[in-house]
Amino acid sequence: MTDVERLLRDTFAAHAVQAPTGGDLAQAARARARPRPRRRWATPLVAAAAAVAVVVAVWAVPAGLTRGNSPDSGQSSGQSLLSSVPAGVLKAAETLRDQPGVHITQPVQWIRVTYGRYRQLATPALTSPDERINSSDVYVIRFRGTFPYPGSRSPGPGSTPPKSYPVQDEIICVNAGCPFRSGGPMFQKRGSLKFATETLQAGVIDFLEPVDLAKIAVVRTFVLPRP
Amino acid sequence: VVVVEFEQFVTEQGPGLRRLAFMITGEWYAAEDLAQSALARAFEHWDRVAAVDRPVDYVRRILVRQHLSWRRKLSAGELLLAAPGLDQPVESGEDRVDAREAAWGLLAGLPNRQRVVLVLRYYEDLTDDQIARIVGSSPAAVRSNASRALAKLRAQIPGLAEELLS
Repeated sequence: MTDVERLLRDTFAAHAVQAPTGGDLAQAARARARPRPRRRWATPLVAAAAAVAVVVAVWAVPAGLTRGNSPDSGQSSGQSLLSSVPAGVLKAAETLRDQPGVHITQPVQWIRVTYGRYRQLATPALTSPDERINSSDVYVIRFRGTFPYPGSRSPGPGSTPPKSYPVQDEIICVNAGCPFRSGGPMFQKRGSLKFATETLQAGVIDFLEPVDLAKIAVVRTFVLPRP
Repeated sequence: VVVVEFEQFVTEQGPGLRRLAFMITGEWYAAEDLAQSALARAFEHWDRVAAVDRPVDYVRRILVRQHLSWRRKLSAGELLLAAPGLDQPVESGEDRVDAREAAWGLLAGLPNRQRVVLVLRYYEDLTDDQIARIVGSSPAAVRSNASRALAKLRAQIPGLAEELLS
C-alpha cells in the first residue's frame, strides 16, 4: 500500500464521524417514497390521468418559462430536497433566518422565473427597458413569518418599543449570468427590513410586492434547518 | 410487515449508508438527502430488495448510482453561485495543518466517478469486481478510474502523506 493510499484510508476514517446522524431516517425515507400501485388494472387509468395532467400543466404554464424551470408538482406541497435548492436561495434564506428577531414560521417557497414575467405580475407595466434584464432568469423567494418592527431607539416619552408582526415577503435573488448589479440601493417594501444590507451579500437584489407565485410557476418549498 | 422489516433494516444499516453517502458527496446535507433518497427507492421496491442475499449491497448500489446520475442532472441544471457553508468544518484541536483535511479538500475536486471508486475501495474495502457491480462498469474501468484518481492526488500532494505518517 502506498503512502497516498494510507492517507486516503486515514482521511476517510477521520471524516466518517462527521456523517449525518440523528433524526428518523426510516420515516423520512418512507415519506419520500412514491406510493406503490395496488392493482394492475389501475395502471392504465393512472397513465391516462397523468397524461391529462401533463397536457393541462403544459397549457397552464405561461410563456417565458422554459422547461426545467418547472419542478415536479409532487414536491410543491411538501418539503422538497434541501440539496436541490440553489445555493443563492439557501444562502439568502439562511441570512434572513439568522437576523435577530426574525422567525420564519413557514416553509420557504421559491421559484425560478424570468425577471420580466415576475415584474409584470408584481407591478403591472413596470418592466425594465433593458430586454436582457427582462429575459434574465431570477429566483424569487417568499418568506412567511414574523419580523421585528424597529421602533424608536431614543429613550424617553414617545419612543416605541420594538415589536414583531407577521409579514410575507418576496425577494428576488440573482441568478448566474444575470446582468443585474449585485449591490447598490434596494427597494424596501417596509422600513423595518433592517437586514437589507446583509441580504445583499447573499445575492438578493430586490424586494417586491407579493404576488401569487403559483400563477407564474409551480412553487418549490423547503424547510430551513435550525441554525 | 414491510414497514417493520424496513425500519429494522434502516436501524441496522442506516448509519453505514449515511457515512457512505457523506464520503462520496463530501457535504452533510447532500449526504442526508442521498441516503434518504436511496432508502426511499428501496422502500418502494422492498419486496425485491428483501429477497436478495444482502439487501445492504442492493441499497448501496442504488445510493451510488443515484449519486452519479443525480450529480449529472444537477450539473446540467442549476449553476451554484456560492457554497452556502454546507460542509461542516472539522475541529482538529491543533494548529498544524492537517494532511487529512488537505486530502479531503482534494477529493472534492475529483470527478464523481473517481471519488466514488476511491471511497468504495479505501473506505468500504471492496474489491474491484464488487465496485464494478455497484457502479455499473467493468473492473478494468474501475482500475482505470482508481489509478487516475490516485495519480492526480499524488501529483497534488507531494510530501503530504509523509507529513501525516511521520
